[in-house]
Formats: sequence, structure tokens, C-alpha cells
Amino acid sequence: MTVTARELGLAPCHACGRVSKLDADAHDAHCQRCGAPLHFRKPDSLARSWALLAAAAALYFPANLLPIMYTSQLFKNREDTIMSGVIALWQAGSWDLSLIVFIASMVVPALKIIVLAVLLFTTQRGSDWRLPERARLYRMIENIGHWSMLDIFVVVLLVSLVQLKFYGEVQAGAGAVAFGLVVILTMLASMSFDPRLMWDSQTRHNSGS
Amino acid sequence: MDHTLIVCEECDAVHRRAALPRNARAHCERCGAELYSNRRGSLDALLALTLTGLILFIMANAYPLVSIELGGERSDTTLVGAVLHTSSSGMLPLAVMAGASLFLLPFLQIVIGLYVLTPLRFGYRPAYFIPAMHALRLLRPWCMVEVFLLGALVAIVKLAGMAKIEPNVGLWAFGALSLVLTALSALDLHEIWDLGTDMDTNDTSRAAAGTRA
Repeated sequence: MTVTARELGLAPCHACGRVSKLDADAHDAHCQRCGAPLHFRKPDSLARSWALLAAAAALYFPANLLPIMYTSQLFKNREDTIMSGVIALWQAGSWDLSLIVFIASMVVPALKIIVLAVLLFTTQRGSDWRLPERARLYRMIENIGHWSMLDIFVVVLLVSLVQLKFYGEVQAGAGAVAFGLVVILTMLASMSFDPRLMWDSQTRHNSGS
Repeated sequence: MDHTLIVCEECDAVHRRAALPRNARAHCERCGAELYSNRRGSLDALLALTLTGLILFIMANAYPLVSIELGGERSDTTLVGAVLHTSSSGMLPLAVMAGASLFLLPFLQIVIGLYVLTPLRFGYRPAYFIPAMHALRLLRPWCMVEVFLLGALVAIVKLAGMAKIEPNVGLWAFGALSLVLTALSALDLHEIWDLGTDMDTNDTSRAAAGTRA
């Protein structure tokens, strides 16, 4: 049976990794090596994570409904949302890029929000359902989150390149800002989540409490 | 306090450090997270990589990324130019997000990395080691140069239909830079902490003895 650090009265520093002794009722402990605050668990992890996730989920709608880009080309003007941009790429024959943008800009953020919600919910309920799988899910969303910034960078490049007086210009839309915020907020939400809380349920179940 | 103990940051399980063969990684017994590895490479290699990163960063920003030509009109842009343009065309939040994740933060990561690694290579610890290490840890998740490359690819393809578009030196430099940054971010900061803790600030006797970690 694996021992947890908390059971031994030890806490690893989240900043530098140094393992220190920590009293259960200590409130203001700091890592001796690097000065970062020492905790057994990230304080208010679930509350902060939920709050950031809720904000991200709320912004997900304007991010997808509002245009991210306005293009004016000769006499043709168009507005593009993320989805219409994906479709446009597909219709132009770049089905591979269309798929990449679809996955990065629509699937990944939605997946991140859903997975984080599942992780938070199961952790809050103290369930020890499928812990190794949940651990892998957590690692996965931590790694892919930032790829959703893809469309933001595409917009920034197009806006600055297509400024041709006769032929057209591209302007950014509010949807892009909302989308960038969704990415940032979901990244912050998963950073606030302390995955050790998930495993604490297993420790509790095993000690029969 | 047993300093050979290591605690899994994802599930709190306690393990004892063991010597690893070259390039091996140790994973947590309980949850599979990576605990530590023996992939660091010499400080020389790390320093060389960081310096390369600096040169690539300068090139990536000094030269245009792509050039576009349509009906005799030519336009090209560097990254900074693109960010400034986005901010002046009214989308300041977008410009800040792109400017930070693609210019400012990667730059800080490289420069602070040099600030930390150079003295360590010569056997002593820099004066502001602790804040510098905290900064490196915080900067990491927010540098998104690889995503930018994919974004540039998408932008090029989108424009290829309507204009003559050509990738430029800046873009290639960014490509190489993203490889360097990826390699540097695989570096376990905890190991640098351990290294730095063992060294004194400005210990000239150590440097003279040619200590290399």
C-alpha cells in the first residue's frame, strides 16, 4: 500500500520540489529552500477551479457565436466564426487543416471544459471511481490546453498581412478575444486543480474512514 | 529529514529516489506521473541550447515571417509588426495575448534561463537565483511558439488561394526556436534547484577548481 506524504507529515514544495516536514495545523509555512508557501494541498483548489471553469464555459458561447474575423475582399465581405472558418477551409480543399483547426479550436476547449467538470465533480464527491484513468485525463488536458490558441494566432497573422489597399483587409472580431479568454481561463482552471485531492478519496477509503 | 525522498506531485505518494540509467525516467507507482529523469544532459549542452535559442529568437523577430503579394501590392510582417498592427486596429486584448505568449514570455524564458545557467556552469549560483527560478516555472505554460507555427501554416494556406505567399527567414527561425524551446521545457527545474542549492553564490574557489555538474 503506498504511503502518502500527508500521512507522514511531509509536504513537497510545489515550486522547487523539496520535501519538508509540515505540521497539520501550520498556517504560514514556507519552503526553506525557495520561500514558496507550503501546503499539504492547494488551498481552495476546488472552489477556484470551479470558478475559473464556470467563467470559461460562459465565454465559450460568445467565442463560438461571435465572429472572430471580418474579411473584405473587393466587393465581397464576410464574417467568420470559428466554425465557418473550419468549413471554409474544408470547402477550399484543405481538409487536413480544416480538421486540425476544428480539433484545436472546437473540440479541445469543449473537451477540456467537460473533462475538468468531471474531474472536479468526482473529486468533490470523494469518489475513487477509475482513479488511474482520471489521472491520465488530467495529464492529457494539461498538455493539450494551449493548442487552442491556434485560431487566435491565425487571426493575428491574417489581420496584419491582409492590409492591401485595393484587394482587401481583414479585421479581428470580438469572438477572438472571447476565445483567447476561454483558453486562458481553462488553463488557469486546470492549474488550480490539485490532482492529489482525487487520490485522497482512495486513501480515505483504504483507511476505512 | 531524509533527502532521498521524493513525493509525487499528482497523487502525493512517497517514493525513494533511485539512480537511473541515462535517459531513463522514473514514474509514480500509483498514478503514473513522471517523478524525475536522467535526461538533463550537461550544463554545457543546456547553456549552448539556450544561447542558440537567443540567436534564433533575434533572427525570428528581425526578419519577416511571410511575404504576400497580390496584384503588384506587397506586404510582409514580422511578429512584432503583426502584434502592433493588431493592437492599432482596435484589438488590444488579442495583441496582448499574442505578444505575451509569442514574444515577451519566450524572450524572458531564454534570458532568465541564461541568467541562471551561466553562473551554474561556472560553479556558482547567481544572486537572484530564487526569483529567477520561480519566474521560469511560471513562464513555462504560457509560451506558445509551437502553436504559432501551426497557426502560421494555417494562415499561409488560407491566403495561398488568393495571393502569392512566401514564408520568409523569420518563419524558419521560429520553427527552429520552437524546437529549442520544447527541448528546454523538457528540463526538470527541480534538478536545477538541486544543483543551485549545492552551490554557493560566487564561490570563486569552486570555479577555479573547474567543478562541473
